[in-house]
Amino acid sequence: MVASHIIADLSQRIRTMERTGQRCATKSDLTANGLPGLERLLCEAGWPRGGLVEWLAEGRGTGSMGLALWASRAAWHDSLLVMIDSQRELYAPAAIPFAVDLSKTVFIRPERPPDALWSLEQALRTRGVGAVVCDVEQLSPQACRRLQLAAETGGGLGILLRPAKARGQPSFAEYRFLVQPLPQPDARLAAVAGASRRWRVELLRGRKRFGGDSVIVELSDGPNGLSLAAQLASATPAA
Amino acid sequence: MARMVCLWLPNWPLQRLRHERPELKTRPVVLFSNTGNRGPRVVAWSAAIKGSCVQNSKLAEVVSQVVPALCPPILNFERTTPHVLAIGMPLAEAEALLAGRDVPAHIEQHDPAADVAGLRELAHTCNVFSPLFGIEEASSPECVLLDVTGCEHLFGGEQNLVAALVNDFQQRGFQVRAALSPTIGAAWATAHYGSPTPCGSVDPRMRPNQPNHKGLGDANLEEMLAPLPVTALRLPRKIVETLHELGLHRISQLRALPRESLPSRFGPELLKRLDQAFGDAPELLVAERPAEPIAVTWVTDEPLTDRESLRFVCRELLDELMNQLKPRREGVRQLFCQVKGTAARPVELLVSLVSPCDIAKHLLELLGLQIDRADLPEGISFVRLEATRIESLATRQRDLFGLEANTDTHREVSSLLDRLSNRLGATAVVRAATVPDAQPELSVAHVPCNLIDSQASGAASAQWHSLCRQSSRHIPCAVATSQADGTWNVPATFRWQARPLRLFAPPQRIEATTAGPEGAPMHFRWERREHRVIRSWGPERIETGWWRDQSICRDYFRVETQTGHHLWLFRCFDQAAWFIHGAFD
Repeated sequence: MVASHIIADLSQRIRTMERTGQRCATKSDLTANGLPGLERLLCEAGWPRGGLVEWLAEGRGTGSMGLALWASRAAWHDSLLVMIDSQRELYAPAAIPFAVDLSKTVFIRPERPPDALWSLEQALRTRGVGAVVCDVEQLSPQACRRLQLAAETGGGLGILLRPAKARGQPSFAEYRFLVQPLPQPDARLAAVAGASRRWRVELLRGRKRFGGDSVIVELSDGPNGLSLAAQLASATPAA
Repeated sequence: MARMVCLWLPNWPLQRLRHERPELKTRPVVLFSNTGNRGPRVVAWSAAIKGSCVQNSKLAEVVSQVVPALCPPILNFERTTPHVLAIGMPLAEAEALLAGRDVPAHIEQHDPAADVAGLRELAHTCNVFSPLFGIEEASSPECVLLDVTGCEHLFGGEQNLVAALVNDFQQRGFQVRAALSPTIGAAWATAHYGSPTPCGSVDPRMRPNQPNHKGLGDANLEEMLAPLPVTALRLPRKIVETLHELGLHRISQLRALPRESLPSRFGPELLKRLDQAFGDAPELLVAERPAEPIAVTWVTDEPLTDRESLRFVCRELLDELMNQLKPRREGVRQLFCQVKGTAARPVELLVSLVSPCDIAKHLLELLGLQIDRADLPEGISFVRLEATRIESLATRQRDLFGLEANTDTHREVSSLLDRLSNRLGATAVVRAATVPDAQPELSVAHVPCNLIDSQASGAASAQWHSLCRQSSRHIPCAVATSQADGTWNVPATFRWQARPLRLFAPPQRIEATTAGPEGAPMHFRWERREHRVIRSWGPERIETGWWRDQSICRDYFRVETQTGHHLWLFRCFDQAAWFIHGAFD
């Protein structure tokens, strides 16, 4: 027991040193990860409070947004969710199955991209905002750093949905994932499984760990809403 | 001699409620109060609850049995229509009596403070008739009082004045009775118990176009009040009951008794009211004061040329404005800023806030966001700031997204929403709610976060809450959704992947090849790329009724392309074409 205490203490101190600010990553600094299987890619047991997570995907209709919402739903459990929708495309009713409570959600619909970035920073800087979801096409390193600092001030989670071509750009985000939808392999399942989708989620880079690992996750529609498909709960890293 | 008008709004709590929410006009309404220790009791109810006659109160019963003529005149109003309910009845009993009716009753808690505030607001609208107006002093006031001494010639006589007053209220949808008398007490009595004239006003002594008041002297007052019931004297119920037990029903009977004996028998209240009605004791009209506009102005001879100086001026003005507001413990909810230059029209900026604010810095920040974007005139020489809407800081407990009011978090969030709304525009910062509509693009409503008008925000927030209730996990029932095979399918549960997270507006037209005339798409071309469909779900037919301006008839398919992307396509029957409507992102 003593040894485990020492290890826990040491790892805590390492984390403290690793953090840019003075804040240290204790358990209260983490938001639960809502997607079992994904924890293989994370350094800690959940999402950092006051950090950015980038979700990259190629094209539209990949399901990355739903996956990101479902994975980080604990972040806005008792606070506000801000969704920045510069395209005016988000369809609010469809977000309800992803644990989005419309009565605690604000939709911001700016007309120009600079306004979207400004709103994102303003929302991230505000305490009481649990998470901010935003499509970000272009992001300069300076702007990204500003967002990271804003998130550290506010303590919310910034969920940035980005195109796959952003994978080469520098980033201050805690994690950068690439989401690739996988076609349903089983033809028999395909006929009935109207409500299950699977993805390969690859960690491109993390602030505290190297990228390259990936997992396969699958969501299916159970009686109590979404759930992780059983056979994949114990999936092995695929890459 | 003074000339007083009493304007009675019978059953004011209900009138107020129905005026604020017109949709309740067609429904029976029951108001209850929880103040006693015997559980919720009915305080007021509306017409449209008709049935076997139960008298409103014991008092009315006594009066009607003994002297039927002394009942309040029939007003064609709710209080006197036959009812099944009674004031003071337990709410549960009322609910049981109302159960099983065609139109469900609207049951709401009585809000006395809102009634008084509403009446006060109404009194302010009377300032076109008289500069001195107020409301009656009672526990639950229902009357607006006006001192019209010397005002009648502006309306061509007293009768015309009262007629204009009544007409004004009736046009706004209120039911009123008005009376004009030398004293407040007499006016109150005649308004409540006098015989009505065709225009709704009551004044048996009034002669048209007779401006002098001598015709209505003390003798006439006596003659006018004598036949009225003792309840017309604004007495506590207990005294009235005692009087009835002694067989005293009319004011004339009271006048016949020796004056000195009244206080010892019935307490001082009776004599005071009697004297007030007959003008022997003074009664003050506590006049409402119109709220002074809270505004500050800055004028200079040397025009400003840059925005930075303007900001400085605004800061000074805001500090001054806040100093005016601070003693009142009030905050600004809406700020109006007018900037005049040398030549051009004045620039007008409007800052709206989510919750009242008394911090000059925050207001300056919001104003600055607008100043930065405004097209300011050259050479600014005049700046005026006016707090057009003020609200109390202490009492307002707004429930903002379930956050507890008056905490730091609450303040920060409301400040964020203020900043966003003022820079991006109110329509860009919205909450969403589902609407029961089959057409996907119409099934969501966006409500701005900072609605300013109290009535509008009340209505909108009621609408918002009702929308939220509908939207828990269920998609609203579709008007007409059927499977292509003809079986009706109401998508009761709003499941995952039933609707896409992104909906394109408008739907984008695509070229698609299908398996058959009614079949699913197999290939389609979108965004300059070929997509091959490997799986598809559907069709789900969404069809709206012919009564719509633009009815739709679409067969929706969710398709999975060879790259694993999920998209939402539909076949439009009107145009015989394929569209892509959304992406399951």
